[in-house]
Formats: sequence, structure tokens, C-alpha cells
Amino acid sequence: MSDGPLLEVDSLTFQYRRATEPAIRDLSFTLDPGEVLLVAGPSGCGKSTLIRAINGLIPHSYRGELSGSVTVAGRMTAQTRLRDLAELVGTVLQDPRKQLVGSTIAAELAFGPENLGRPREEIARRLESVLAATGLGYLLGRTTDELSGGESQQLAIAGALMLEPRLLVLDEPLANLDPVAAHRLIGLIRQLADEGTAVVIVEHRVEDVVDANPERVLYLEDGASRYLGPMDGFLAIADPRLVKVPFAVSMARATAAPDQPGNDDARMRLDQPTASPRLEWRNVDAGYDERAVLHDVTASLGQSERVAVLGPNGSGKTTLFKAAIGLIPLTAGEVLVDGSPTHGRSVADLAALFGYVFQNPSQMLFAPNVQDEILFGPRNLGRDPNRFTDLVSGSLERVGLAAEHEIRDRPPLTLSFGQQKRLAIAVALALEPRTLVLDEPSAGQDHRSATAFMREVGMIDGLESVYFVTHDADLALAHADRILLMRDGRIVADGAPLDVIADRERWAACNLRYTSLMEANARWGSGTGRFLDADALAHWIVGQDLEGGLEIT
Amino acid sequence: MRAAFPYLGRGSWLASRDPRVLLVAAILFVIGASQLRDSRQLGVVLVLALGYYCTARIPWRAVRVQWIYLLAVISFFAFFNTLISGGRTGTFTGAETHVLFTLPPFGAEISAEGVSLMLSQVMRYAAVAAIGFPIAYAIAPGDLGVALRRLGVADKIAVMVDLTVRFIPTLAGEFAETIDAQRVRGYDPTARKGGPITRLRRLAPIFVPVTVGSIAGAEDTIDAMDLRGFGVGRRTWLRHLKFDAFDFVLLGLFVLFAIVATFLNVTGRTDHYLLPFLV
Repeated sequence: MSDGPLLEVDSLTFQYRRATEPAIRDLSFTLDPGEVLLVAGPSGCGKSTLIRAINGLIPHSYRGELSGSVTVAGRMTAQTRLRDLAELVGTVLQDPRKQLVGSTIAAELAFGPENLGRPREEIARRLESVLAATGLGYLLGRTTDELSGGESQQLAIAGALMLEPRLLVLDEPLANLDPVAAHRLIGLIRQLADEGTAVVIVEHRVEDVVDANPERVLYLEDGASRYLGPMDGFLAIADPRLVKVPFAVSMARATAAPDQPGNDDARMRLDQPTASPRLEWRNVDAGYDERAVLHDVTASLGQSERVAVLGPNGSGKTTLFKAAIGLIPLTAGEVLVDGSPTHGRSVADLAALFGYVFQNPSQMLFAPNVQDEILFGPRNLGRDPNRFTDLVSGSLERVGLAAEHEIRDRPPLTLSFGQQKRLAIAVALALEPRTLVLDEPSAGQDHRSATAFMREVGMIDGLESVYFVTHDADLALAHADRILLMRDGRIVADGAPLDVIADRERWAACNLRYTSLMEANARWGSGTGRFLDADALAHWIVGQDLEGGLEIT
Repeated sequence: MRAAFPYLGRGSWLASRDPRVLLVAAILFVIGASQLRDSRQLGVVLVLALGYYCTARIPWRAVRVQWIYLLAVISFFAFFNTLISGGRTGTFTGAETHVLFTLPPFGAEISAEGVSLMLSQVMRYAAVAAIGFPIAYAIAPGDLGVALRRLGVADKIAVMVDLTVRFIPTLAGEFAETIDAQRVRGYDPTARKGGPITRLRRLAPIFVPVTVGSIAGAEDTIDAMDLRGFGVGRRTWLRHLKFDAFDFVLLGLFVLFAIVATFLNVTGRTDHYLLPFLV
């Protein structure tokens, strides 16, 4: 065991083999046992590359030009076998489902120590201890394909802990967790650090990580370090529009620069709400195979409304809309669209009314170029070919992709993730729907991209309504004028954002946590009259010349 | 959507056996059954195989479709064999056949010998299926790899078998999700228009995203395995397998069956039997 820092990154620069510029440049820092380092930054800033360099995947699995060094417990990762590094560094990658390799919970947890040839008795001991620490004992006996996204994430973390690593590296570990599960994980991270484990946590939801009391924050932009130091210092310089930080930070910025304009209302501009509903569920039951998900759901969404459906993992949010457009058969009740039952109507027929955008755009992109991708739907529905040119131009224009260089001829899968998200909406818009349904629009996007995306969706011309499903409560509350709150396949609240968050017990019962933005909106809501995003609310407060600010951190 | 073989036999007597027994029993059974030709003997074997199958307590409703499909395939091939051979095989070779009727349009003869042969084949393969089904439905998830390892298969291959079983549901889930994503674009996965090439091209909206997604996902999986030290040195297996008395008895019965079948074959005591009621 060396006496120096556990992790030492020295002048690290790495450029992938086929890339034109380095993914990370000249990074240097150290980490001692028991320290938590938060690595933050926008998408593409080099966070994942840094993780690969720390755990040894760079240079062992990813080839490129490497300069500088990474040393863990005195061993240079470039000169140490991955197997040996596995005993020092535990890593949890972004997508938990891809890294669960065992069919059962026990097999998954045992995988690492088994590979290292640990005796069976020792593996059993570690299994018991990790299950106790993570509280995942209740999962034993289940298979990994039965787990929700959140459970998979927690299991992946438990799998890394089974190696009893001295350094734990977590890449966006909160992405698939509902707020309560995320809070529990943050507590576990702090506990591990207090017991001597060093932790590197990559996360753009900075507010959620604050409770882990990270000793330091490394903020990256374009692969280079822009800040390295304590959390307080970071919060003093952080831009709340780029990373999600506590509301007090937005407040401080607005107080320091009261003349700068705040965000407009983040909600889309719609016509005045109409009384007649677009979509109604009447006593609907639905589910998958023999597993019932929706139970006696009754609700109606207006023709001109922005509605967000919120709830914990597995509460039935996505199933609600899949059942509405016929992707999942109803086992009881009925769904009405514009007053008429959907029974007997095809998915294609309903797709012309509801543009449905799935969570992951790559699940649908297949055509050789963007133009064919957009026209796939209109061709299937037998639309007039004379209008195709206008349809493509119009759709690309409405999602802000028209100005991209030779966009029509580009293969969809070569676009960036953000562009693919926009293309997915263009694909839906090409069917000329009146309502857009978005499933987890913030998935895979950082704070800045997600809020910008929702803002752009709100500005699309010609849409009557937008319904979206999300587990990002702040995003839902700030971008919708009505919230459906779901739990266990039932709607437990339906109302304006400020009204829905008013019942804190119900909120907590849905595995949701009050964020600092909710606290602020709850406090100032009577004045604003509606839920505002952090920037808009902070500027509103400053504009009201309210002295003293908020005692919210 | 469930796609992997569900553990339907959970809690049954056969599921509580060492998984190696189920694998070895199936091999021994195939060795034995493939040597028997007498439909009376095969009838007895089929009954015994079904008895074995019943100890797995696999719910009929859950596997009904698979059985119907399997029996249809077996029957088709058995019938096809009958057409080709005309029943002139084994002890029936050279003998005068008892033609029951001829099939239009080519006048293929269907003989009593041919039907006897067909029935014996159906019974043989149905018996093999009855012994094989519990491998899919009565071995606990995650036990297949360790069973293969303990049977001498290399660590890497045993883990890969487990990995394949593990990712079948994931792949199926992505498949179903992609079909849904294309259906909302007016795509009809059940459409049967056009020739084979057109039909194949119509599958591109499903197969391209699923394939691309799987390749991209495989990279993460490989990374995750590398980072947990897979594939470099000798590994241990947490799951401990141990034969109990029932396992030994069951395995002994299958060994006995293979020996008896081999004896019958070698001594010429099993040959095609003409079912008398057909003549």
C-alpha cells in the first residue's frame, strides 16, 4: 500500500483513434482515501473518457493517443492488467441494463469475485455484507430481467461493491433512479467514503449530489478542467443554466445581476384551453402479458394542454399512453379520442393524431438518410407524395434541424444524440399530429440540453397540445400546466403544478422528494401564480425587490 | 414481454435435481432412443419419458404452443420420410409392402409399413422432446453455466452460455420496443404483401435499429465484464452443485436405459414392427 494519494491523474490527455481532437486535455488532480470527487460538466465534456482512463479501459480497451498518467494505489493503470485493476477500482457505467451479466441477483453480484478466483465462502460473505449495506436483500430470488431501471442501477452498484474496491467510480448513477432511491444511494456513497473508500462520481444533477458532501468538484468543459476545488467554490461560480444546482445558487446569480433578463415562462405557447377533451381513459385496466400495470384509471386530457405525467419507476406512466394509442391492449374500460372510442381503430390511425416520441431515438432510426427517415411514416399512411418535399422541409424547420449542413442526406445514426432526439420529433411531426406525446424527453440529456429541448418543443408551431412522461420532477413542474401524478398504476393526483406539490405526504408516498426549486415555488407560488423554473423564479423574486433572499440551500 | 425460457418447473421434483443430471440424462436418452426401432418398445419409452416430463410440473398452458409446433414439425418430417422411403427400410426392406392407399397427384404409395415407421419416428422424437423440455424449463436461471462448467466445459464458454440466456429477454424487449416505435409510424409488422425480397426489405425498420443497438450495447457489456476481471485467469463459481441420492438413482436409470437399448440394438432385438391393425 502506497502512502501517497489513492488516485493520481497527472497531465492526462487522450485522443480517440479516429477523433480529430482530444476528448480530455491536460487533466491533473489527486484523490485521497475517504474523499468524494464530483465530476460535472455538460454532455461531451470528457467525463466518460476520464472514467475510462481511471479504471484502465483507456488504454487497455480503447485505443488512441495517450499522454500523462493515471496512478491508482501506486500502480500506473497503463501498465497494470485490467484484472489487477478490478481489485482496486469498482466501476458503474451509465446504462445499468447492459452491464448486468448474471441471470439472477446472486449470479450478478458474484460475477466479479468469481472472475478473480475468490473462494466460495468469501464470495458468500461479501454477498451478505453488500446486500445488507445496499438494502437489496429483497431482490434475492428474482432474475435480473425482471428488475426496473432503478433496481438495475442499484444492483450494478452493488456488483461493483462486491469487489471491495478502494476506489469507486460511478458514471451518472442517479439517471435511472427515482428521487428517493437516488437519495438513498447518495447516503450510501457518503457512508462508503467515511469508511475509507475514495469515490469519483460523474453527475450533472449537482443538486442531488450535494447531500454526499463531496470534498471537491471537478468541472469540465471541452475536455479541460474549468474548476477544481471545494463544493462551495463551485456553487459560487456555477451557471445554473448549465448544471442543476440548488435554487440558492440561481438566487445568488439573479441578486448579483438583477438587470439580466430571466427565462421566459418555459411552457409552450398554446391556445386557450378548451373544455372538450382530446384523450380520455375511462376505468382502464391494462398491462403486459399477465402483469397488470394500470388499475381503473380514469382521466381526461384537453385538446389544448401541456400535461406532464410524473411518478416513480414502474408506476405506469408510459403504459398509460401506450394503452391509449393501442400499443397495449386494454383488459377493462375504454379510451376515447376526441369523444370517440378507440376500440377498432389501428395504431397507425391514432398515430396520425398523436405524434408519439419514444425515449431512445435510436430505437426507431433505420433509414439510409434523414429524408427517408422522415418520409417513412407518411409513406406508410399513404400520404400524397406531392407534399413530401414540403413535409420534410417543414418538419426539419420546426425542430431546428433545417440549417444543419446537408441534413437530408445524412445517415440518421451519424447524428449526435441531441440531433437524433430532434429528428425523432421531426419524424413524428411529419405525420402532422395535433398532439405530441413524449416519453422521458430528458433521458440521456444533461440539464442544459433537457431544458433547451423542452423549451424548443414548446415553441413548435401548429401543435395543439403536448403530453409528456418523465421522472424529472422539476422539468415536469416547470414545463407543464397540469400534472398527473401516478403510483402503482393509479392516478393519485391531478392538477396544476403548485397544487400537486402542496400535499407533501402524497409527494413523498410517490417516492418523490422536494427539491429546493419546489421549496421556493411553494413559498413564492402565491405571488407568481404558477410554478416557475429556477431562473425565472429567482429573477421574479429579485424583481419584486424582496430583501433577504431565501434561506434555502 | 417474456422471451427467455421461464423457470416454469420451479419447485418441482425434477427442478430440485442437480442440473447436470438433466443435461446428462438427455444425452443418454438420445443415445438410447436413437437405437430403438420397434414401435412397441418406443411406445413404452415414450410413456416413461412423459412420466419423467411430468415430474417437472411444467404447466401445460404455458408450453402448449411449443408442443403443438414441435409435434407438427416432427409429424411433417416423419410423413416426408414415409413418402420418400415408401416404408421400405430396416426389416421392411425388400419385403412386399401392404399398400393402404395412394396419394395424388404423383401416386405415392402409403403402406402399412410406412405408417408404422412414421409412428415409431413420431414416438421417438416426442420422447426426446419430453426429456429435453425440462432442460429449458426446469433448470434454474444461472444454473446452466455452472452445470456445463462442472461437466468439463471451459469457463469462458460456460459464462457465455449464461450470458446468452441472460440477454435473450433484453434483446426481445428491444425488439418489441422497436416494433412499437415503428407501429406508431404506420408500420404494419404483420403485412404479407410482395415476394420474399420485398418481405425481407420490409423487416429493415425492425432489424436495423435492433442490430445497431445490440452492437452498441455489447460494447458496454464487454467493458463491464473486463472491469470485473473476466476472462483472464481461472474463476470460481459461487453456486455449488452436489449430487444427492435421487440424482444418482435417476442418472443410473438413464445409464441403464442406454445400455439396454444398445444391447437390444447389438443383438438385433429391435427392428421395425409392422403394426398388425394396419394390415
